[in-house]
Amino acid sequence: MDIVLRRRAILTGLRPFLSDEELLPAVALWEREYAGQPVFALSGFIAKCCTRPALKAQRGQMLRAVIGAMELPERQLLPDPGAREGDAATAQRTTSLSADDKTSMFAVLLQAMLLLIEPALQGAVRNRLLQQLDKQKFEGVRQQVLQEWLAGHNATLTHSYSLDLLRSFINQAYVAMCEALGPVKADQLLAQAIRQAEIQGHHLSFRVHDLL
Amino acid sequence: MDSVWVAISGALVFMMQAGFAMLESGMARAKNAVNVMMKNYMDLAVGALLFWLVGYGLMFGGNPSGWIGTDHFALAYGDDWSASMLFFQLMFAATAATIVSGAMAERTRFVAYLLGACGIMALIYPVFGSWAWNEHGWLRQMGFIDFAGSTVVHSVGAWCALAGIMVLGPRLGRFGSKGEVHMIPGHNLSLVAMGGFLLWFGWFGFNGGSTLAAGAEIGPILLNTHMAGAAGAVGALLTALAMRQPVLMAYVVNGSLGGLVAITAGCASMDVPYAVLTGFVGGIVTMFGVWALEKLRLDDVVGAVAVHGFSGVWGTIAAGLFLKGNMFDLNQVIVQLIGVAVAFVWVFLSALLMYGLLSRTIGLRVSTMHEQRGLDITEHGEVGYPEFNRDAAYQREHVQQLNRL
Repeated sequence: MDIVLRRRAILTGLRPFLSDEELLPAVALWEREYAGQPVFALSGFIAKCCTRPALKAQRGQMLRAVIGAMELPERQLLPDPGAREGDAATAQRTTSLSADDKTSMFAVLLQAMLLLIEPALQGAVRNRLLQQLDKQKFEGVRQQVLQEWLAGHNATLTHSYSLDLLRSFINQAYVAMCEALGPVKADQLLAQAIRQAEIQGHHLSFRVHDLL
Repeated sequence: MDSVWVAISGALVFMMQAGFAMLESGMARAKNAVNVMMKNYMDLAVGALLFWLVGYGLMFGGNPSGWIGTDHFALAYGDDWSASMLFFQLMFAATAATIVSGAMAERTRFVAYLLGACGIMALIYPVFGSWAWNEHGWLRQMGFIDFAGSTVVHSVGAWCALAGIMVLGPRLGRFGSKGEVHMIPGHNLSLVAMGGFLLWFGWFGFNGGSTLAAGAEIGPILLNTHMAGAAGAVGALLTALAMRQPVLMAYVVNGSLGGLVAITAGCASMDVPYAVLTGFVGGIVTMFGVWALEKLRLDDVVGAVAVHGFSGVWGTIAAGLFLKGNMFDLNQVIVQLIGVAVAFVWVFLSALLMYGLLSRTIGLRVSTMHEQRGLDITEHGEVGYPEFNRDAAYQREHVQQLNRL
């Protein structure tokens, strides 16, 4: 199960128990600390979510609800809290001014690549990039922002990143597409995404091919 | 007269290099076409110098022990015949080395590949050649028959290729994580077909020239060669039909080459019907070899291991089985099997060591970023088809922009 579906399952399982204010932080907590752990670790996750006495009494129910949601078919899950609407241009428009042009171009290109593939594969690509991010060592907030953006939680990429890092993310996305679709299809999709990114990022002072 | 024939045959074998370049390049993707051509061009050039310097002496020099030649290095003052022989044998060595290129295509560093080719032409090929073809070589003394090199040339190249692709691993995305096989079709089937024709043509020099004499035996040898190539193509065609597979261009071209490889050992010592049978089975062996390697998740881009290795083994055994005047002699077949086994052990292990060392030192495989860009750009800084394929991710005008990695 890819990370997007699992995130939707967590959301679906917790929805009956948590308020709006509690729900998204709980999902974020799961993603940050438990997404890479086995299912039995969910018990610890639920314990952390039970911040009120009323919730503590429902702890067992919550755990069963979350585990049950993991088994649900995709159509019965709530929409992804990090799901993005619109096209790749949205990514560029919502990129904060504090992100430099190369990071903005990266956002446009990666979003274009993701929009060309099926949702299930999008999840696999995002998973791979998040794993790649885990191996990086840099300042916490910047890592958090990029993590949320890559996970599809956040539409805004508010910080700038090094060219090497951005290039490696594009390459890893390409590798994931090669493994899933074969290199011929991956090459076609990459070429298509580049053409889209060239149009959507035409006002940026950074060439898309410098990310490649 | 003999010198003229051998020299002309050497030139024909040289054309096989062009055949390999076209065939392998056509079977690769457009973004790696230049790289494949370059490998075929340069392994010939670099290898020629090394074979002249070292390889020829190891292979054909005085060999009192039966294990290694000890003179004729960097031949400078040989007579006319020695020059003709060196020229002819040099082309054979280049053939053995260039077989590797296609198998390892699309993910190998250019310089590492060339160093590997040097190792093959300077050491791996001549050492085995000295056992089988040097007049005092121990295998030859045992009665090993390999007239033009089903094993000495073709299997040697193929076992090196097998070691190479095992060290390298498959191309990015060739096999999915759930075991699925992703086809990576070649970019130009016309090149594949023309490469096949050219190789077939060159084979007349390869087998015919191995008489080393302009005699009447050339006719039967060329006839056997041609009939085996034709039977190999038909064998591959029938195998594809029997297995309910589409009859791909690569199948029939590889089938014909499998037939040609198979007859190379026994082309001078078989009657025509047996040459046909040898070629026919060679084509079938090639087809199943290609499929078996795919099942084992070994990514041989052009099917070189099946064509030159598996069919080479079959052909060498067939040379013993169908030996004119001494058919089905078990002792002869055993000698053939010894030769085949020794070739595999020596070549595969030494190549595995060589490619393993290259991998751990200068690096054998390119990065995933280089595979993404294509080796034409990353290894040579050019694009094979600058005026065509405008939908590709990387165009000629981008080359200057790309950062070196």
